[in-house]
Amino acid sequence: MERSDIYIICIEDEQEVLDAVVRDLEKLEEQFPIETATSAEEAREVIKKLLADGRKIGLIICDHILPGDNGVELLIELHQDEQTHPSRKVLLTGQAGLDDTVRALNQARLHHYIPKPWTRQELMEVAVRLLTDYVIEHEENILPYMSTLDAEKISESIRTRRSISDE
Amino acid sequence: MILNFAKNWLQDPTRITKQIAKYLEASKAFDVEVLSFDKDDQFFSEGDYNEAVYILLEGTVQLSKKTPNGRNITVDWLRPGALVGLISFVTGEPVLTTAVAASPVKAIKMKEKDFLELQRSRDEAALLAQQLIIGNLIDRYHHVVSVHVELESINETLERERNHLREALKQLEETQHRLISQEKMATLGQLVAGIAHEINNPAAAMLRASDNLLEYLPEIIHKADPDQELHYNKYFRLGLRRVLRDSDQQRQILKEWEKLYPDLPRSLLRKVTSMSDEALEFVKEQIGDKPNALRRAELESMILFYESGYFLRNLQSSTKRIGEIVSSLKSYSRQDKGKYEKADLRDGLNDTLLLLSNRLKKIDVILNFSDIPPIDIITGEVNQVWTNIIINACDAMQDRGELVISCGHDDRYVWVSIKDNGPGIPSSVIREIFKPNFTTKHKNTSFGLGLGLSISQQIIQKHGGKIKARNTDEGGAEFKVYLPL
Repeated sequence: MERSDIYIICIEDEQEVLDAVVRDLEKLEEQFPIETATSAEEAREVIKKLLADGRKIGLIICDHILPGDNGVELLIELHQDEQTHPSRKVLLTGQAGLDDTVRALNQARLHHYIPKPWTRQELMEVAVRLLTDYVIEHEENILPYMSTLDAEKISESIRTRRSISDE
Repeated sequence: MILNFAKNWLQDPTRITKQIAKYLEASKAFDVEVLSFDKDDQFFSEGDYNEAVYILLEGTVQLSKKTPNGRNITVDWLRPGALVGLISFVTGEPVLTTAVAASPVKAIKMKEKDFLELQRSRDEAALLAQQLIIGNLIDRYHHVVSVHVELESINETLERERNHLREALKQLEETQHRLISQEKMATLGQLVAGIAHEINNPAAAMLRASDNLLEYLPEIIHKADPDQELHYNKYFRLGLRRVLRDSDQQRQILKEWEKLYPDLPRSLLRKVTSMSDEALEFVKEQIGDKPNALRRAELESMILFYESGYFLRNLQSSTKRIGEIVSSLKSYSRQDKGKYEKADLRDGLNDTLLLLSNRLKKIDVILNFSDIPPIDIITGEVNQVWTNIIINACDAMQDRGELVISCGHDDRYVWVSIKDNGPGIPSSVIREIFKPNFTTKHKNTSFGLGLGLSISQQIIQKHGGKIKARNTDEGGAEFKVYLPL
């Protein structure tokens, strides 16, 4: 499996929980390297470095409450940044404050909202769906992603793209 | 003496009316008659046009008026010497009051013509008539003045009573709010105690299960690797004792290892590199520079054992945490039903802090606890005080800052100080904060009744203690609670 330059960023301040998220997504890592951060500040730096190295951020999974920052604020900020605007964003939360969720949906175009505790299957499904959307929207050659992501959607997309370029 | 001629009438009203009566009787020029009224006979009714004036000789006349609400009230009592119907007679306007005989009455009825004639007569009679009219008017005026004074004093009394009522109503409302709030807390307490109990059982089972695993797994591992050639047990123990690295450092090590072993998958390397530096050296020795498929398979199974150890560690620490939270919940929400018990204030503070830990995530909590003796308190209530003060501090600091909690004691009191580094309490409201319904939180509050500090003060006073608020020199607020030994 060829490793892509599309990264998954996981942000969570409790190491045990962060480990669990990463472990649940490890099947994706062969293709989508995972980077982690335990604070919003660290997340900003990690993302900045990756972008500077010419990598892309495909998916951001962010805890709701982070030391020194609110996950929603971070997601809004990343959404407003041109470079991370296309990244898919997921809020992971132990407490569903409706206000914050609404704000995240509206302002950060939050793509998914996962309440804790989650299941591996649920997290994987969400990640696969969002990464599939991401590569279809932003990648030229999407054939290599068929085996890891949603094969049906990708082949469908390849078909439509071909027919469009044929015309 | 001409100026105070009305005095005559005021001193003895009947003397003049008798003189006038005598004069009228003697003079044949007047067409007047002396009428007798029985009790309750009516002279005229409010709103009538009045064509005569009556000079009251004997008996009492009651003047009454209908209020806008249709009630009849007595306006005045006229006694012998008075003129009945004077104002309406002179002005020609409808009469203001209804006049009724309050007892058998004798009165001279005079028509307009005669009354004018009487005033115009050249002899003493004109003077008598003037004295009679002016005396009557002065009397009415006196009456009006005294009614005003009386009214004013009644108004004052009314106003006083209204203020009393207002105050009483306010207190009732406050009491009601307080009762609702206390009821809410009590219900919440019961709910929490119930939940704590429900969680306690599965949490205990989990802890027991993970304890058992901790015992059995090394035995199983020993059976799989009796000679410790594969170091399974070593890796299991490494996982069990895993110390978390700073994530930046962790990222560096992962990067190095990706360069060292470009053929190994990143997810595997991530797990490997979470081991201690010492263990990593050991791993390097084991797998060599370019691990072949066999070495790689070995590494993968080592990692399985390492991870099992780590998971078990997580299971243990997480269940321990659940246990702590549950026991804090239980002791925090103690259903002590108002019973005083010997308790260490530090325990309640720790319980409260643990339960508020979510709120305190971005706040540095510094504890300066000195040794304090246990004192008699109602734990649940005192914990409510800590909660109120700490939540207020979080609000004031907008959930970011430093919270210093200290305690100590002298020979009379145990004290607890809770200091934040927020903006402090504005001097304009510092005197108000313990009053009920005082709140600075106008929105986004789930419990912003403005009763927190008022209830806190009540609880502390009930315990025979006191609570004080001040702004520190650094600018934050400090709440200090004193509870008697």
